[in-house]
Amino acid sequence: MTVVQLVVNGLLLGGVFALSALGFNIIYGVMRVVNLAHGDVVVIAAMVCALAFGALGLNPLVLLPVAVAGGFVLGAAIHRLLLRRLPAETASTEASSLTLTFGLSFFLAGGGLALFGGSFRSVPFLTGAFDVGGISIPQAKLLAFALALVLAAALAAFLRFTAAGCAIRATSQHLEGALACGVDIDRVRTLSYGLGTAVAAAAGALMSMIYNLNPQMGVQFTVNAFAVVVIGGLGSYAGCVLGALVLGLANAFTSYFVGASLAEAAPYVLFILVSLLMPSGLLGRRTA
Amino acid sequence: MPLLAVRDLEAAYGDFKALHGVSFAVERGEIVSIVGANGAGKTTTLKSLLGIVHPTAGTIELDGTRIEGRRPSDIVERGIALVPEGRNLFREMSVEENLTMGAHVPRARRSARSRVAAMYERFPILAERRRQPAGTLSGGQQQIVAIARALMSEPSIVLMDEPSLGLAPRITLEVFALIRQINERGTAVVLVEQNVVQALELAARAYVLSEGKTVMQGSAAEIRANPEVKRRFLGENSPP
Ligand SMILES: Nc1ncnc2c1ncn2[C@@H]1O[C@H](COP(=O)(O)OP(=O)(O)OP(=O)(O)O)[C@@H](O)[C@H]1O
Ligand SMILES: [Mg+2]
Repeated sequence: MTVVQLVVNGLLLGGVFALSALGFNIIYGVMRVVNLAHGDVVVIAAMVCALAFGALGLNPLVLLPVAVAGGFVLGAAIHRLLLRRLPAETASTEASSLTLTFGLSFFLAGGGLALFGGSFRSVPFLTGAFDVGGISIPQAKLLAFALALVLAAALAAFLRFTAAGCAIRATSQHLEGALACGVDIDRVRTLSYGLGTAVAAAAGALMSMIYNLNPQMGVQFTVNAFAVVVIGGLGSYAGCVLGALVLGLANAFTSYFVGASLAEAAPYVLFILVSLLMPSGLLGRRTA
Repeated sequence: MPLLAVRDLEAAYGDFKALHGVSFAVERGEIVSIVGANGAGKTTTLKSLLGIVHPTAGTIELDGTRIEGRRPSDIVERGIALVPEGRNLFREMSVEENLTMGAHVPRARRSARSRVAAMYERFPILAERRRQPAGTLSGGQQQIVAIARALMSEPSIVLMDEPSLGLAPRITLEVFALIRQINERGTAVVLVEQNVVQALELAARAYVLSEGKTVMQGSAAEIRANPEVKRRFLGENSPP
C-alpha cells in the first residue's frame, strides 16, 4: 500500500515538475541558453500568488492566467533588453548567456527577498484529501497536477498547430534551416523566452499550492528543471514529461525511505547517473 | 536591369575574411552557375545573399533595390529562396511541416495550404510521405523536400547550394531535370555544384570563384572551354 501511495505522490509531483521543465526546455531548444534564472521566476511567481491569495483571497484558478501573462511579459522584456544584446557569434553566446542568466538569478532572488522577505509562504487552497481505497490523494496536489497537464497540453498544441509554434520548433531543430525559410529569429527568440518564463511562472503558481516556499529557493527549481531536461534528453518535449515523472517518483521514494533533506539530492544523483550511463537522455536525439 | 546584381561583395567569419570581391549578375529567368574549389566561398556567397551571413562591404541589388545587410526574413519575403548545402531540413518535423515552413514569410503564409497541395501534385512522393519525419526519408527524397520547401515562397530567384551532394548518379540526374523544370517555369536559378560538367550544361552563364573572389565569367560554353577550368574542375589534363 505504501508503495502505491508513494507512486501516486511521485506522479502528482512529477506533473508539476514537467510543466516547469517544459519552460526550461523551450528556451534551451530555441536559444541554446541554459536559463539559470528559471527557478527564481518559479519562486517569485509562487510568492506573488501566496500574497495575492492571502491579501485578496484570489482563487488559484484566477491567479494562474495572471501568472502566465505576467511571466510572458517579464520574459519577453528580459530578452529584448538583455539577452538580445549579447554578441551574435554563436561560440561566445552560450558562455555569455550563462553568465547573464546567472546574474539575473541573483538579481531576482535578491529582489524577491527585498520585496517579500525571507519567510515561507504558500497558498492554502483545497487543503483536504480524497481517500481512494486507503490511498490518500491531496486535493491541492491533484488540482495542481491537472492544471499542469492542461497547460502542458496547451503548450504542445501551440507548438504544433500555430505558425509561431512551428517556427519555434523549426528553429530549435535547425537554426540555418529556419533562417533559409525566412523565420524572424529575433522574434522567435523573444517569443520563446517569453513563453518559457510564462510557463515557469505558471509552475510557480502551482508549486505554491504544494510547497511552502521562500524567495531564496529558486536554485532548487532550476536544478530540478535542468535535471529533468537532461534525464529526458535535451530538446525532447516527450522526454521532459517522462524525466519529470521519473524525478517525481525518485523524490517521493527518497523522502519516504531516506528523508526529506536527502530527497533534495535526488535530481543531482539522477542527473549524474543519466549523464554517465545515457548521455543523450531517455528520449534524446543522438545528435543533439 | 538584371534581377540580381552583386558587386564587390565582402564577408568575414570573425577575423577570417572569406569573401573579398565577389561580383556577378543574374537575369530574369536565367540559370547561372558558380564554380569554385572547396573553400572558395560559394556557400558564403549564397548565405550573404540571403542575409544569413552579414556582408561587410559591397552591394546586392534585387530588382533594383539594395538588400545587403537586411535580415533573412525580409530577403525571403522579397523573393529570394535558398536550398542550403546539406539541405538543413527540420528532421523531426513531418514532410508537410517542412513544406509549410517554406511558406512562413507573410507574403506566402496565407496561401500555405494551397501551396502545399500544389507541391503534392507536383511531387506525388511527398504526398505519400507527408506525415513522415523528414529525417527518415532517403537522401534523394530529402533533397526534393528541400527544393520544394524553397519553392513554397514562390521566389523569383532560387539559390541552390550543391543540390546533388551525396546523391546517387541516377538521383542526381532527376535533381538536374527538376532544376531545369523549375527554370522553365520562369524562376531564375543560381546553381553551385560539384558536378561542374552537368551544371555547365544546364546554365546559360557561369562565374568562377577562387579564394573569395570572382576570377572568371562568361557563357557556360566559354567557361567549359577554358583550359584552366578544364584542368581544375573538369579533370581534363590535356585538350582532346
Ligand atoms: N562558420 C564558419 N566559420 C569560420 N570560417 C568559415 C565558416 N564557414 C566557412 N568558413 C571558411 O570560409 C571559407 C569559404 O567557405 P565556404 O563554405 O563559403 O566555401 P565553399 O566554396 O562553399 O566550399 P565547399 O565547396 O567546400 O562547400 C573557407 O575557407 C571556410 O573554411
Ligand atoms: Mg559550400
